Parts: sequence; structure tokens; C-alpha cells
Amino acid sequence: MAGSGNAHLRSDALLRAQDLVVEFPAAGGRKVYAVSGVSLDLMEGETLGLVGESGCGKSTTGRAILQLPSPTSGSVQVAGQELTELDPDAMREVRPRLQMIYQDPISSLNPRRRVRDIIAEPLFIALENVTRRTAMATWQERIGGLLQTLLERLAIPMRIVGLAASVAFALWILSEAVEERAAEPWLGWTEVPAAIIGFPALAIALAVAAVGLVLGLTWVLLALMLPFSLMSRQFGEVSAPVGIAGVVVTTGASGFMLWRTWSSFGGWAKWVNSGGLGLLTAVLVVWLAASIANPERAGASGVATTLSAMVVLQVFYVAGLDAGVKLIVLVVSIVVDTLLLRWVLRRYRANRNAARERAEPRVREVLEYVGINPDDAMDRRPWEFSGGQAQRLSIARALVSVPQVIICDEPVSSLDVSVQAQILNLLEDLKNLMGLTLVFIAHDLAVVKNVSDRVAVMYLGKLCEVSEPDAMFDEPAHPYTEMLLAAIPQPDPEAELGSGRIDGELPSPMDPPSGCRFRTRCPHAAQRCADEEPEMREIAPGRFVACHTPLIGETAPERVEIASAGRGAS
Amino acid sequence: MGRRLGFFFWLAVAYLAVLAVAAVFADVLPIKDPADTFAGTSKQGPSLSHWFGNDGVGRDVFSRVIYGAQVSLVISTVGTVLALVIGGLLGMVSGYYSGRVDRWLTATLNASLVIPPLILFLALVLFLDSEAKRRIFILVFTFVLLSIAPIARVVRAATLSCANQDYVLAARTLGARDGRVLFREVLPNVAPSLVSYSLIIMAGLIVVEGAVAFLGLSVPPPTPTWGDMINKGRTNLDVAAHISLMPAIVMFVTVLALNFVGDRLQQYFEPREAVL
Repeated sequence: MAGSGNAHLRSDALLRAQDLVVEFPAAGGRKVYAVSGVSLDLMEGETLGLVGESGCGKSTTGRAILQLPSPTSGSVQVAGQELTELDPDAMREVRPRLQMIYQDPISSLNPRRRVRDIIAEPLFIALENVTRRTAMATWQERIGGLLQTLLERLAIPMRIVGLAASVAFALWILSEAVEERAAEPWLGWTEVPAAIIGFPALAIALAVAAVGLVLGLTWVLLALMLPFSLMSRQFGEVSAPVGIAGVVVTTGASGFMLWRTWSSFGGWAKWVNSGGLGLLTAVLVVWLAASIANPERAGASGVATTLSAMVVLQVFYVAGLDAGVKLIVLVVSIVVDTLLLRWVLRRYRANRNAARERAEPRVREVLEYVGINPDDAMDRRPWEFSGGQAQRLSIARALVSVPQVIICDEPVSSLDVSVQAQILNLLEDLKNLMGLTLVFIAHDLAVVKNVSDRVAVMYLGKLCEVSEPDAMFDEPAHPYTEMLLAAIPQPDPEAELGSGRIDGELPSPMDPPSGCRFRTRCPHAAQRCADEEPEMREIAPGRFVACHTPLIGETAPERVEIASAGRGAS
Repeated sequence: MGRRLGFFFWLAVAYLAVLAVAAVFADVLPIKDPADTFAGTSKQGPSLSHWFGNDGVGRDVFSRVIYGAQVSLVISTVGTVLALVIGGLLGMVSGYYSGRVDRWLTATLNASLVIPPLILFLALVLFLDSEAKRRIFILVFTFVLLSIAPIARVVRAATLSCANQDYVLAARTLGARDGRVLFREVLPNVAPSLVSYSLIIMAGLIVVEGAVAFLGLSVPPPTPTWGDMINKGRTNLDVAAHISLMPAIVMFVTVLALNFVGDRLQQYFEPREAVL
């Protein structure tokens, strides 16, 4: 009962999980043995039902197959590709082929996003990952694997240093400015911060600015390390005259302000003194121009960084002016900043909408597949749907990336019975339509019997029995299967109460019993069950059992009262 | 949806907007010079020519309150925004990556909560403050240090509850990188509490500036600050209470408005799954 072994595995399966072990650390240095040597396989187009009591490791097995988290040991192969050995990036590219449907449809959909974005997210993520890989590949060609590895390793430390440096740098620049100005008859240093409040663009940009600055500084470092050609990639697709005009105008305006800032700093000496500002400014000006020419490539952080950097420059500039001129410059700056921000935001939004539009036909198609009217649903948020509809959305999200395998983690457990049937039929239809391969995790045996081509019974992290559902339900081979079947409530008012009860509690997975894990509750347990762990073996064609005394075949023990009483109409 | 922010919310926002605009354009608005001592008006109560009256040496309290708003608003906004970004990131990272990262970050943040703010401030002023004119940076720096931990804790709690939701797992199943998960899935769910709590922190910083000014450690004169004005007016409380009272009232209303706006936003963004 509840043993290991691979006798039930077939060759050329689409998905093959072998000897999966998942252990979690627990308090006091102990371990939870959640899954201990489970092997499963699925042929293409097959549905595998995985049943067992709560806490037996069904869901953990499902997640281990998806490498979330990766199993402690064991192997998972999809179409011959070993997943446990893939590095995170390679795994990310495999993920669209393996999808999951969750028990609670509401909590598996982000309440703050719209349906159109939720369903399109797999496409965006896949695009991002592929783009990233291509970019990485280009890098590799250009600067060799060494630098790339270095950059990958340094990415996080660099951002941290970048953050610290940019904050320190900003404070230093400000204090420099204050020192410079203190002797002059200007209106006092409150002006600098006062001007900061003054720019409406800043109110929006400042919050993003700190993050943007970090990324900006990372960019500066990258710009120093990489050939300029990489920077110029930011300029891609500058075809429209508007883009070029934008570059000219912003470069001109930035240049002018740069010059004013420079002269108010007192010429070359001071300029060299604040060389960091110069470098930052130069890069940011290039970047701003690029952002305006092509916001999509420059990204939101780039736009925010450049805008806020522009505002900082303006602040320095304005602070050096006389009170009279200041009003004019202040007003003009506010107007220009607002327009600039609006324009960039509009371009950015246009790009986002373009991405949405590209995804839209696919999203609509999938929504129609799952029986949701796209026109009604696209712009709503998940909590506006009922549980059954939300589960349909969840299925749609899983389908959009055209997966090979879908792991359904109790997909109907939290739905009411009439809706359960709808969702099960939907899954069945989709399976036939798209040739899906499903792992169906559930504790409702009636549901599993209907949908599965093969059923695997789990107990306390081990497999008990694997076989066709009809044969298993008619004649269970494992005492635990028999108990599970006996526990199905009978819709018969005359039935004796408590007849099909499973006795005993599930033992703690932190301290599983020796030998067969089911022996503590098994009516047939013998000394051998405590000493020796049963191996999975074929006792009848297509019927695999891990038990020393299976209930069918010549060695079958006499049936025990308790179990047979409740069984029958399953 | 019958949810409204309400009249008083917009009233508070309008008040804050007027205050901010007045502070920014103080130079060019037709108000009196805050440094000008008007002859024979010492300790005079509010009048048509001097709306909030005059202080001990005859300066116009109204214009000093406006100029004082510059300091208060700059210190509180810059302090809060920096703390929001740093604390928000720390909180999200700490809540999202459980385990060692979380333990170290939480321990550090908790340790920083133990430091008494005034002592920290005094120490920083003593060690760093070579020149009085740099005081504002030390103020902002201290305020950021003080606000990071509370903000990070709030964000961490919000992140924890949201990182265990299936939609985060779903995003990871789709192959999203941690950054994308944090900014696309977690941040939208954390942002409301982050923003509304930050407004309350901001109000707190305005009050702290007042407390610091009582020790004479705020931005030094002649720059007016609210805390400094209240402190200076203390000696004349019996004969000319308005010198302390006027800035105090403005500070009170500002703090009230910020708290109110923060509270209302918090209610407004209350996750609606609760309805289901």
C-alpha cells in the first residue's frame, strides 16, 4: 500500500514524472515529507485523475511537475525534455506549454486587472521572455558570454549601488547648489525645494523618479560598458518627421538649460567638479530624445527618469533667476512640462493599446471557446463574475498560450454542483477540440471517474494504485481505494449511518509510518507491511497496485465488513 | 457604483492645493515680505492689512505662514516620497521573498524602529551639521530614515497577504519574472494602502518638524517655519496668543486634511472582493 516503484510507467509518454520527492523544512529542523517518490505519466490526449484525502500531496505533486517549487529530487520530462535541470530562463520559455487551473477561481485572478489584460498576460509574458532572450543573444554575439554573465550576476548589486549612489548624488548636488548660492543675493535656498513643488510634472514623476533614477544609473553604467550601437537601438523606428522634430526640439531645449545650469554653476571648473551631473545629463538628454521618438522601446522607467531629470535641471535653472523673470520661466516650464508629459503619456498609452489590440483577436477567440461573451467581459474585473464564470476565465487564461499539458488543481471543488457539470463539460469539449492532456486533481471520486482515462490514488505522499477508472471503481485493488469508495455518501435514506466511515486519522507527514504508509489504518495490515515497503506491480492487465496483499487476485484476503457495507452504487 | 469620495475629501484636497500653490508662488503673490518689520505693529492682532496679525517684532504672520509652508511641505513631501519608494521596495521585497531575505530585512527594520526619533535627530545634527544652512537636508534625511520602517512594515503585510494568492502563482506559472510579478500583480494590490498610509506619514512629518523646531533644531531663522513660529510666539501667549495660534491652526488644518485624504483613499480602494 502506498509504495514506490515505476512498474506502471509507459514508454513514449508526453509527460513523465519519475520518483518525485518534495520535502519542506518544518519547525525544529524536522521535515515534512509531502511527496515521497511518486511516479506518473500521461500519454498525449489522456486525462489522469489524481485522488486522495486532503493533505496527501496531490496539489504538491501537481506543483512539483510545474517546478513551483522544484521537487527535492526526481525527474519531470515533457516530450523528452527534462525540466528539473533547466535554468530559470529556459524554464520560463517552457512554462507556456504547461498550464494550471486553480481551485479558487476568484483568488487566481488579480482583482485589480481587467479581463482583457489578465487573459492577454500569457502572451505579453511570452513576448517579453522571447524578446529578452533575443536581446541577450545579441549581446552575447557582441561582447561575449563573459561580460553577459558578469552583468547578469551584477544586475541586482548594481541596482542597489545605483539606488544608494543616486540618492547620495542627488543630495550632494542639491547641497552643492545651496553652497554656491548662499553667498549670492538670491531669494534663499527654500527656492530649490519650492520650485520642486512647482512643477506639476514632478508631482507625478517624482514617485517614479527614484525608481527611474536607479534604472537610469544602471543605464549609465551599461552605457559606459557597451558600444554606442546598443544605445542607438533605442532610436529604432525613428521614421516619422515628428520623431525627429521631437529629438531636435528636446535636445535643443535640454542643451539650452544645460548651458544655463552650467553657467550658473560658474563655468568649467565647477562643471568638472560636478562631472557626474554632466554625465548624467548627457545620457538623460539622449534618452529623453529616444523616449519621445519611441516610448515603447525606451520603456516607462526611461520616460519617467528623463522627465524627472529634466525637471531637476529646470529647478536649478529657475533657482538662478531674478524674481521677475522667474514667474515667466516658472509658468512656461509648467506648461511645457505638462504638455511634454501628456504627449509622452499619450504615446506610451498608444503603444500599450497597440499591444492590447494585437492580442485582442486571440483573447476574444479564447473567451468564446470558454463560453464567455467577449464584448461584455473584456473590460470588467474578475470580481464582477460569478464563481463559475471566473473559473471559465481562469481556463481561458490557461488556454491562451496553447499548452500541451494543463494541471487542474481541484478546478470544480469550490463551485456548486450545477456549475461543476458545466465546467467539466467545458473541459471535456476543449480537450477534444484542442487535444489537451490533463492532470485532474480532485477529491471527488465521482468527478474523477467521469473525466479520467486513468486514475492514480495517493496516500500520504505515495501512490497506492493506478488503473482505469471503471475497473478501479468496480473492484478496488488497494484497501485504501476501497475505503475511499466506501466513504462516498449514499443518497439512500435507508442506508445505515456511519457504515462507510474511514477510521483513524491521516498520520503526520512529518513522521510517516515505516514500510507501507497506509498500514496504521489498513484492516489487513500484517507484520510484513511494517517491515517492507510495497513496490508498484501489475496484478491484472492495466492495474497497478503497491500493496503486499491486494484485494484482487489469488492472494486477496477476505473482505472486511466495514468497507463492503457502504460500497456498491459508486 | 455608489462609492464617492465625498464633499469633505474634495474640500481637503482643495485646501492642500491652495496651500501648495501659495507656497510655490509666494515670491510672486501680492503678499507682504516675511522679513519686513512693520513699525508700531508689534503683537497686533489680526486686522484687514495684516490678516493673521503681527508677531513680536511686527512681521506679518500671514505671509510668514505662507513662507513657512514651503519648508513644511518640502520636508514632508520629499521625506515621504523618498521613504515611500525605499520603504515600498523594501516591504515588497521582504514580503515577496520569504525566508532569509525577509528575516534580515524585518530584523533591520524593527531595529530601526527602536531608535528614538529625537535622539537620532540630535545625533545627526551634532555629527553632520557643520553649517546651519544644510539643516534641511538633515531634516529630510532623518525623516526618511524614520518613515522607511513603518511604511515598509505596512507594505510587507499587504504583500504577504497578496503573495499567497493564486494569481501570483498563476503569473509565475506563466513564466513571469519576479520583477514583473512584483510590479504587475503585487504593486496594484499594495499601492492603495501604500499611498494612503504615506499621506498619514506625511502629516506626521509636519508635526515632527514642529517638535524639532521647539528644540530650536529646525531650519534656522530668518527662514520662517511653522514649528519655529509657534515656538517663538510662546513667550507672548498671554498678550498676543495669535502669534502661536495662527500657525498652529494652519498646521492643525493641514495635518487634519492630509489624514482625512489618506483615510478616505484607504476606504475608497478597499478591495472589493470582500463584497463577494
